[in-house]
Amino acid sequence: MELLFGAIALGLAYAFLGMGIFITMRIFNFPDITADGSLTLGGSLTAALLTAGVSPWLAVPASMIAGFLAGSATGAIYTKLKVNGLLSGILVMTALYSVNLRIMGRSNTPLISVRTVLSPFADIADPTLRLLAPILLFLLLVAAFILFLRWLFRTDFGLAMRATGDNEVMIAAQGVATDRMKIIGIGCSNALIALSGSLVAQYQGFADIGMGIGIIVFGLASVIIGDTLAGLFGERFRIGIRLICVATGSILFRGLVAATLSIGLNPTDLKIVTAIFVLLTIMLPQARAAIRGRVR
Amino acid sequence: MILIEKLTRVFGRGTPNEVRALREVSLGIDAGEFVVVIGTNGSGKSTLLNGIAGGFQPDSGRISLNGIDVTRMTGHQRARHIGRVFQNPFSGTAPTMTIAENLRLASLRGIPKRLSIGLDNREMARLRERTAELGMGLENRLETPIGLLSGGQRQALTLLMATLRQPDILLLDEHTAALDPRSAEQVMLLTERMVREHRLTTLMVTHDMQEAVGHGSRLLMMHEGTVELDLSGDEKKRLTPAILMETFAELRTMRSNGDRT
Amino acid sequence: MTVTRIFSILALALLTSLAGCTKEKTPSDTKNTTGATAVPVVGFIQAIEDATIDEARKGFYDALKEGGFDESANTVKIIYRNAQGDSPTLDQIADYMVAQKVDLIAANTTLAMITAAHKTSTIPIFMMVAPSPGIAKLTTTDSAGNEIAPPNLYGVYETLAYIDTSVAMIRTLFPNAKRVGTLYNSSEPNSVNSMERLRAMCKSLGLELVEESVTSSNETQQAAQALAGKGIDLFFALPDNIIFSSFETVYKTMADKKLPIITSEAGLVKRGAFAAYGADFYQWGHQAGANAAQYLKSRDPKSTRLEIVAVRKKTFNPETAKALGLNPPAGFEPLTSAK
Repeated sequence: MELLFGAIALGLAYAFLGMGIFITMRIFNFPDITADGSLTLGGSLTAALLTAGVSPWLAVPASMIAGFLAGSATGAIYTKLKVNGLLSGILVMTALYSVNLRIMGRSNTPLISVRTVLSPFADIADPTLRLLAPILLFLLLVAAFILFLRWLFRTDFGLAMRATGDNEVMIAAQGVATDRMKIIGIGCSNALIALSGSLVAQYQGFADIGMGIGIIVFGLASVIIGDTLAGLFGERFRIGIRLICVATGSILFRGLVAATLSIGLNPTDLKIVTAIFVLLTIMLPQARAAIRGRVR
Repeated sequence: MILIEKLTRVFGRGTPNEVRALREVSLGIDAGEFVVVIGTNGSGKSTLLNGIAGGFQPDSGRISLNGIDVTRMTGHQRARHIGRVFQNPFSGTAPTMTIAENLRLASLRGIPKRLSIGLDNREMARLRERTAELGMGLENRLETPIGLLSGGQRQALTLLMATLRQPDILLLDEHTAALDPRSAEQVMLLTERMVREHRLTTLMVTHDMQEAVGHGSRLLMMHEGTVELDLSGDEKKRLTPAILMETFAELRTMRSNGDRT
Repeated sequence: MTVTRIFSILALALLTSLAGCTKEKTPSDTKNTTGATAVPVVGFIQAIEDATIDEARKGFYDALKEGGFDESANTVKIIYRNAQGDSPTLDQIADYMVAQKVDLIAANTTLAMITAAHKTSTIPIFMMVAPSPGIAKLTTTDSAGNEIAPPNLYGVYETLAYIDTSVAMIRTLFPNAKRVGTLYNSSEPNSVNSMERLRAMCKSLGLELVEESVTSSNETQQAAQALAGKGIDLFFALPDNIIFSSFETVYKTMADKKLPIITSEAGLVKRGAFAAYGADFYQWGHQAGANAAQYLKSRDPKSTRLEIVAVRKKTFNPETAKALGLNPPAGFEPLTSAK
């Protein structure tokens, strides 16, 4: 059961990464690579603060603010300096590498004997409950943020943000400063990604300079799996449902990793198996349509 | 009152490809006037409209909308004063968002979009009423994503959106050119009705002679960056497509005979 | 239609959860039948793919075999999982080992050790190729002010003392040397710690240390060339993954300028370094494996404890010596072809 619970807990902790990528990829149509750096930023800042004795409930929001700043930097470079979107993300991500090293002062900060958001659960006697507790906490946070984002995208401001990604010409004609909107949007996205970094560091017991490397692939996979799920339900447009599906995608992905680990697949084949899984998931709606077409 | 003073726009200045799209165009449009602008390709008519909308900074000249000098303002800064319908029927609406959401944004044109839910039941009812004005049944589909609608429907909605907040000027940029004849007719009828009902100052660019003749209280014919013809009142009413074609031909021969550099 | 959708989601969820529960039965079952003759299960967690790190694993397996625990003879079952540098995967691998209720966990490299220690405080963890828990910040301080490592942590660690001995070697082998060049990896915890130690040592020995830092093996060639051009007398190779993976580049650059390479890792001597004095990964893994075998035999946690690397040897490469025109150093073992 540890494996199943672990997959769910990790999936939920990384759900914010998926939600962040969802915002930049699906709402702004912006390929944001900052994630590799901002996830680590969330983890490293949290680790540094917790080691210094700061309350975890202060460290987590602080990490989100840091993530917001990193994302805003990418947005500013993209809109104001007119640098290609991908390149903007790469620039900030590369810069963050040094920033993260400086924040931690070392490349790896264990969080074994410091107070984290999960510390209250360490004293639970029942082993199953002790494994379940982080899941419940993360689930609460995921639900809270999904509700918040659902509300945000229904406000006038949120509508304007969605329109910026949907049809920039139209929303500029409605008087929205699209540059500012993109900066705020990419900032918010990376705030969420940093939140994932913070929670993951506290969950896995350390923050490491390499914890974000390649993590954008995982975020993208969560979004893609999530979209396919949403498509199955016929809910291609309602944001709340789509976000829930992204979180589910994150959990399913980690479930897949758990499954491949327990099947005993050669460790070298782990990555290609996950790539094939994501590909199959993308093909699912097309396959369904093809089968239906033939039946008719 | 829309005032355009010596508006100049040059592309590729100093290069062999230099094009003087607008040459010191000066124009005054009174409140409530429906101006139709016609001209061949490259005459500057679209550039004029784009200039008023804020699509570029002019090389020289001034634009004021009801006393406010908007020359230095960017497009989105001017949006408060301008309602615009584009040639591309897909440009004016956000496809993944519902009709209601698009309309809500349009009713906020030029004012800050706050962090509060503006699209509540009361607002929905209000928007439903306004959509019913179109007479196209779209008021029953307010929750439909706009991307699922046809070009004609989207253009009609763009038109409605331009009127949700009274603009100082309504800019119509060949807005029926990309539609099929039936939708084009429908949209033109709608345009007449909305302009009349809301008493909108309108500038319509078109290449269609029929349209130019059949609508508007004033006609401007542009050629190579200047306004060559400016007819209103009875003079405009007496125009026919044939007369327009003749006038065009005259202008072109005059130019090619070297009357202007 | 909705029904099929709900079904497909449920099926997916069920599949993944079932997959997580498979194979749990087999090892636990064998254990439940007869305690004495049950085949012990060893969970080997490796954080990255690297040929030099793999040496430690080989040493570990060999030591188990010598202790009477051989997979081919069915006296032990080894579950080996490699996270390939992926953070969440490493975490899930640890979950998996705990779920499989393995008899002991072998953790190869620092991150594997930290992850395992975080997941379980009951299953014995045998560490290798990692610094002492104190250096890795895994210790807690008790009321008396002593530093205590996690109670279930065993295996073999290394302190930074090896830096002292191998750097001191420079003075004895090259009494006239003034400038020592080195490359270090700013993203590797061991590397940064060792760098600080190296700086201190060089200062105390009156050697000037010339440094270049790299973050990936792509950068090694240029960094090495920059160093070689700065008038160094010799190169000191820190035991770091990037140096290991791109060592041939370093060797070639230094060899072109006839600069000898001193290191603390015997494996690099095999690949062209002049001389080394320090732990060798195979031996490191072997020592940990021997401790693990001892534990498996007696199942008494007191039969083993966390200890420092025991085998350090002085080796030199005779071919390199000839190429550089240097005499074989006294007291150093020449490399033998067999390991």
